[in-house]
Amino acid sequence: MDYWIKKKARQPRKSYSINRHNIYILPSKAGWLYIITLIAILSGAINYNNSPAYLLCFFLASLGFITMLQTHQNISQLIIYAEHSAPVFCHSPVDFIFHVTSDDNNRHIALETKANNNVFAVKGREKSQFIISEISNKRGLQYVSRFKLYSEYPLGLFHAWTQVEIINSAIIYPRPAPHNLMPTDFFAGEQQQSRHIGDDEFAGIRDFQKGDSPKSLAWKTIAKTNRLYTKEFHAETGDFLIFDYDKLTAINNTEERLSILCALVLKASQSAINYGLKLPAKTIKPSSGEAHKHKCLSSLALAKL
Amino acid sequence: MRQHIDKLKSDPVSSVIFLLLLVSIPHFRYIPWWSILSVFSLLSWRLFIVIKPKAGAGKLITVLFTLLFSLLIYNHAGGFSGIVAGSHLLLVMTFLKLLESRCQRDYMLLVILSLFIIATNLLFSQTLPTALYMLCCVFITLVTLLSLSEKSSRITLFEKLKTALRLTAFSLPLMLVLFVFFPRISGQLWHTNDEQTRARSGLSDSMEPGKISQLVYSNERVFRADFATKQPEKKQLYWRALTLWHYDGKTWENNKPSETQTQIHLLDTGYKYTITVEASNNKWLYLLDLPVTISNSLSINTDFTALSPKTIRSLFQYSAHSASRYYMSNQLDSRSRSRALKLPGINTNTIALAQDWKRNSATPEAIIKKALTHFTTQNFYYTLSPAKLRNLASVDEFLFETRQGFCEHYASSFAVLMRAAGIPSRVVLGYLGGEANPYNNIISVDQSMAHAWNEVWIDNRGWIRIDPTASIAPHRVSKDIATALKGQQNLPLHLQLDFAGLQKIRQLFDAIDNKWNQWILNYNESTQKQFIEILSGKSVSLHDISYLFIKVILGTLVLTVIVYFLSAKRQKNDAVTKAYQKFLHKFENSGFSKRKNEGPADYTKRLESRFPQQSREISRIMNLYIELKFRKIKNADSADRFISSVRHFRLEPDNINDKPNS
Repeated sequence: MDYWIKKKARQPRKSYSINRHNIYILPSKAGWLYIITLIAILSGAINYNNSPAYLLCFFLASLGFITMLQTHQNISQLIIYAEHSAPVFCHSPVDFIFHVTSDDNNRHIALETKANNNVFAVKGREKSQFIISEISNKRGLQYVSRFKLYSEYPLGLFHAWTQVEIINSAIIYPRPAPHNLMPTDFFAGEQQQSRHIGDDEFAGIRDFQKGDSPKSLAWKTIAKTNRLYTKEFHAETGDFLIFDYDKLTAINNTEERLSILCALVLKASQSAINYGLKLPAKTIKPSSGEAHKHKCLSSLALAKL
Repeated sequence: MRQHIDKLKSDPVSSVIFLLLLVSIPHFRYIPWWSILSVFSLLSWRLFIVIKPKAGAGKLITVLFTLLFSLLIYNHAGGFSGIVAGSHLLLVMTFLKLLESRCQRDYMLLVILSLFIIATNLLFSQTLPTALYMLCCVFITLVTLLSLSEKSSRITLFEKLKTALRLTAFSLPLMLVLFVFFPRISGQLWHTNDEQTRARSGLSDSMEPGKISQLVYSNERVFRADFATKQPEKKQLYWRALTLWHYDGKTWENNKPSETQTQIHLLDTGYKYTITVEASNNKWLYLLDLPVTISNSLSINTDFTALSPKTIRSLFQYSAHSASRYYMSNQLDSRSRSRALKLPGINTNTIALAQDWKRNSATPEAIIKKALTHFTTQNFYYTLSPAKLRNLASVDEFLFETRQGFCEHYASSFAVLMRAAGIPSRVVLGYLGGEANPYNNIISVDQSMAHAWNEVWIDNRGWIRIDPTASIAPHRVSKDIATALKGQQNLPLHLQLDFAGLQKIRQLFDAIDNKWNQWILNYNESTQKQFIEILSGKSVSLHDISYLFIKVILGTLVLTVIVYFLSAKRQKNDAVTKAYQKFLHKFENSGFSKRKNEGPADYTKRLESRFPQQSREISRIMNLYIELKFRKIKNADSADRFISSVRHFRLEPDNINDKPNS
């Protein structure tokens, strides 16, 4: 699964270099006003045959031209990398992190992206980071593939931009179900004792793993197949919890079921207990720790049901 | 209070207000007091809004203000046409816009409007100081734009200034090319009937007592003369402007008769010179006595004056040739003779005196001599503030009672005396003298040098210049007016100051100002044509100039782009790289320079084995470099350390002489 995520994210470009082939430049609104002002000054200079006004007009025109070059230069020769973005729960903002590097020590400019009116400075060879923040509204993988990066520095007269084509993805976990939606018979909130509901309810068998209690060995199946199987139980048997998607029959909505499983995983991860997850297409063996939690939550996020 | 100041400091509107005030100040010379007051009220109001954001003006108030000011300005200027009303309106509306501006977009608009205000300033004054002031304003505009469009606020003021300077440095050559090659056209795009805003002092076309002495109070420049030949002596610098023929007892007027052409016989080569006249709002041209030819399809009138075909509203240049020694062979025609002898029937004592001289003299020259001697012997006094003449017979009063006068008194009474004695005479108005600038040898003439003198007609010699003032105040002719009036009371300040140091500075500035006039202000359709003809070596039309302009400007743009990107590349060679190259250079003489395909790590090993005594130092420096360059560690300390280590590193000589190569 992780491999697949990585592969999926890597397929398109993880970095994007800006060069003169993908930079566009046009006067900004202020730039158009500047041009109109120049034309007005020029016609005044011609009309009154006024040399200082000619000088002023020509200076401003030259300045405009140099500014155009500078603004273009601002965003050229930059390389943008997509950083690994942290997974978030659905409906909270997801931050896609990028960083920009420049090979020019003297560069000191401000770049902007339209997405959040981000402004960040690129200074010399320093790695500068910017974040495109979006609201996540669906569990699964969320991508940013195109966004605009622009600069109007130094005078705000020209707008030089590029459409950055770069894949940055983030895993969006299902939204944890609120407390009142939690089924009371499945896993009861705060009180550790109530975990004994549905005690010793047989859930199925699975391959034997090192560490499995000999009490829970499925002797009948072992006798039939000559392989080691372990019986699984839904409720705590002292060692682990298995959260089974199919057992949540009380709720019809798939997403809501996943939300509940998500909340259960979070809850379980807060206690020291080992827990596992059973989805129709995938089963995760009980374990604990941050990595395990993320594995479970990712499975929930990417489950195709 | 303190937090208010902090608020004002941090708000970008403060810098916009500063800029607007800076560009508006020159306009305060001609806008009425209530406009200046409103400008200051509006900007104080806007500053107040920074402290108390709720104090802003509503839409309705802004609209009302706009209407009110439009009406006031319309009323004041009698319409909206013309540069005065136009720029007045622009100024007030800009400050009204300031009142309601809140966001960055508004500020950008205001900054661009301030560029427009700068341009309107230039319509009123084109002098070098104005231009320099405006240059400062443009630069400050640039910095303001920089800080407005820079939103990350990680850029310091110093870096902004550096960027502004860099942009300016790249713009200047391009500006120069545009200025030289942009095809100039004569004529106007739209009709303007702008009267000059300020009445200029200067000669008028009539003369009465007190009129010229007023001009002494002005040191405004009238024209500059650049001699191609050697310069005449100071006492010969009589610049003619116009001749006055008609005398009504008080005023001398210009209505001259159509004289027949006089034939001049030159007795020497004379002087050739070019004159640049400042804007004067009249048509008179100034020519050295006595002009023979004049350039530019201008012509010299029969009374040896010349007029410009158009009113001189900006610098006007022409060249001329004048003779210093000459005579005129033909006779004065009878009409002109009678006009040059005509006198009103007053001033009987004067007429009686002149006729007495005539009876006792054989030649006109003797009469003239008697008249001039009369001025020197009869206690006449040359003064800027003479006693007022009250009588109708003002010449009688001056000659026999007050005996105090300025050049116009002497010129007037001398002409009356000559006419009464039967010698045709007229008054000439113009300027006497001129200050030669030691830096460029150009003679500058200002209003205080205004002068009136006479010409008398003597058969077979023609019109002869007589300056009665010279007999009373010889210093006025040989030196200058300040010397002639020395010690008198109520002298204007510019005649009193004579510190040598101050004068030097003034002259230097004047020389620079002249260059500005010659190269910038005077660059117009015809001078451009001349310049390009000199460049290309053939005669050119406007069409050729336009074609050339396109070619030159394209070439320059391409060149600018190349230079710009090359300089941007070169900047990448930062301090660390430079120091590294310096370090490598230190090994060049040892025969152990870095091979092209050799990495720094390999090279370090090679160096260490070759220079074992210094191996530690070498490897330290190289490791620092590798760390800085390849591990991309950003640490100002290590960069500084690297640079100073390289600076202190000396390859010990015994190492070099050890052995040639390994």
